[in-house]
Amino acid sequence: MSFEDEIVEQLADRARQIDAVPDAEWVQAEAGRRHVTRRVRTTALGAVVLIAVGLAGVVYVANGRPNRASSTSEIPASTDATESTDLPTETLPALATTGSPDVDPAADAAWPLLERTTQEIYRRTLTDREIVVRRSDLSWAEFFDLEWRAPTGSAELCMGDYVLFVSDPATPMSPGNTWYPVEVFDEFEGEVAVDMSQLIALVRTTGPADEVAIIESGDEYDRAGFVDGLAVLDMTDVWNRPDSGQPELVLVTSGVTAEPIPFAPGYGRATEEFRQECQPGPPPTLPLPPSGVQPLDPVAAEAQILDAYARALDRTMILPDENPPSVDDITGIPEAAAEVDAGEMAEVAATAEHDVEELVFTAPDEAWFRYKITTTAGTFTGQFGIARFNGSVWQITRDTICQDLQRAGGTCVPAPDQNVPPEPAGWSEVLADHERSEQLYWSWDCLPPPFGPQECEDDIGGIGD
Amino acid sequence: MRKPTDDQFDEGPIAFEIIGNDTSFADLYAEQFLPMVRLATLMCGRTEVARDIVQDSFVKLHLKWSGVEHPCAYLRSSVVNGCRSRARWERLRWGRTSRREESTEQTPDELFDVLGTLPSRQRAAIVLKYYEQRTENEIADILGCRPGTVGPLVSRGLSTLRNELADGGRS
Repeated sequence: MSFEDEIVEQLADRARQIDAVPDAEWVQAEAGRRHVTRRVRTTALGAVVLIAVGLAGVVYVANGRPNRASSTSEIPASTDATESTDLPTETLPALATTGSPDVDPAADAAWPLLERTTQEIYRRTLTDREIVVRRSDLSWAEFFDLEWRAPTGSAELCMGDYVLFVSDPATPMSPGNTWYPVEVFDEFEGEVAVDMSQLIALVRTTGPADEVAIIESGDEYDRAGFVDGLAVLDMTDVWNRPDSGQPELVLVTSGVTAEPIPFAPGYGRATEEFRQECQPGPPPTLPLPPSGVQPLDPVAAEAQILDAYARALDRTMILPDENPPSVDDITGIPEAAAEVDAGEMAEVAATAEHDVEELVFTAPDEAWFRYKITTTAGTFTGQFGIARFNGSVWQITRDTICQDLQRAGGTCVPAPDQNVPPEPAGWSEVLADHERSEQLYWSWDCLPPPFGPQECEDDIGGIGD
Repeated sequence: MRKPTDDQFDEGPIAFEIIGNDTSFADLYAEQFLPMVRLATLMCGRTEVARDIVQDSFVKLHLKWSGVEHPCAYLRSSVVNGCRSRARWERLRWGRTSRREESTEQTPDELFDVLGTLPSRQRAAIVLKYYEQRTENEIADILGCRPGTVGPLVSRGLSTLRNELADGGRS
């Protein structure tokens, strides 16, 4: 039994031991409570906004800036606040994981700090909740009193120029705190910068756009107005959509809609210097096994292997009739290939490109090669294949082909083993070193309460004290 | 599947029985509650926490019932995201304390304990691949990442599991 089969079996065994008592009535009661709370809150907010609009034409928020985002189009049509409130809320058990949408952002753990140190710059009333954005002009490092300790980069280059705090009652940062800090860099390439706060996208522009919308496959999911170059989009529906198309942003300027641009959240300064200095390098990949005794003609052998691999990947070929066979054992492969061709990854798999990057002969009759698969759905680097000489021709192993098919949704039966080269001595230390190094670049690990842990753990190499 | 109309939503909380007699919310709850608790337990380590996450996910689904075309997919994403949020919150709240200690409340299980030490995304990817038998594309959808990210997540998670289990979970 392969290691992966053991994992499958043990997880299934473990899952069978897990039991829990359902409580559908609680779900119904809680859903009802949240439903009523949302309606009462949005109705009340709508009434306040209507009064404000009536008085001034625009809504003024705490710092006195006009907030075009709270437009009348977002106000619920209903003004009826006479909801039944006799649901058994007092008997509801507390949820351990998430807060309730009716949390008051001004009453939670972060508020005493934010009230003194930040200014509200954006407020948007959605149908079910209100999103508020506050800004600190202090840099990320200054605000959280962090010290840059990574081996490359600096606080000035690598940590945000300022901090935005986003309150979204639907996705609290932690129990009792709805405010989520977002590290923001002034500088960005292109028309817009996108920073994420859980399900909220903060879209910034320096251009003249009035509005921005998030679309996918022609369907618009949300739209918001810019206020001083910032707009807030609710990504909940995009996140929960069943399909996985590429969302796009559409900017609207004076009623004119521009061409869509890819929705590409950035988490840092989009400069080459930032990419080189402020991020850990890629994780180490296992090296190929050491080379052994070479075949008589390694050049010809390598050419045969590459040819066999190309033929094995050719979907137009019928494996059982192939002569000479390119794969050492085709058990389950035609069925898995048919599954791929009938599945949703068929087009992606059919247009995938396999590039063999390095090949070594570990024995006169065995070769390992490292390859990369480039597809429209992503690039898979660090893949390992094996070829063996059967006495007359070189063939690719069944495991190699099956692991490619599995990646595209085909299931080889029996399950193949993954081609993983033997780990060289000290490999676990190499990985551990890399992970420790990675930690040094993640300032998020060391934020003070209520945004982070009490203190940074120096033994894992965090930033700050 | 019969779904409630907007009018029904506007009238307040929906009784399960008016949603439909074939595949109603109640049917979905009865059918998916335990599988989701099992999935969540494998992901977050503790059954009582997993149960809370699943209950909360059903509440969210209930609130969005009229607008969700694929309730099971929504539910699964919600549960997985709930587990990841929980892991993130625990990490932020408590630092990097060993989750192994927290996950030994039930029958001792070496794999389960080691699984609990993996970063949440690796753990989710491993559970979705080897427990739920999901494809990399499906896992990418659920985790909200590129398909190309799933392979390395699984590979690194497996590598850790292999090393830790070979080491008897001592490290």
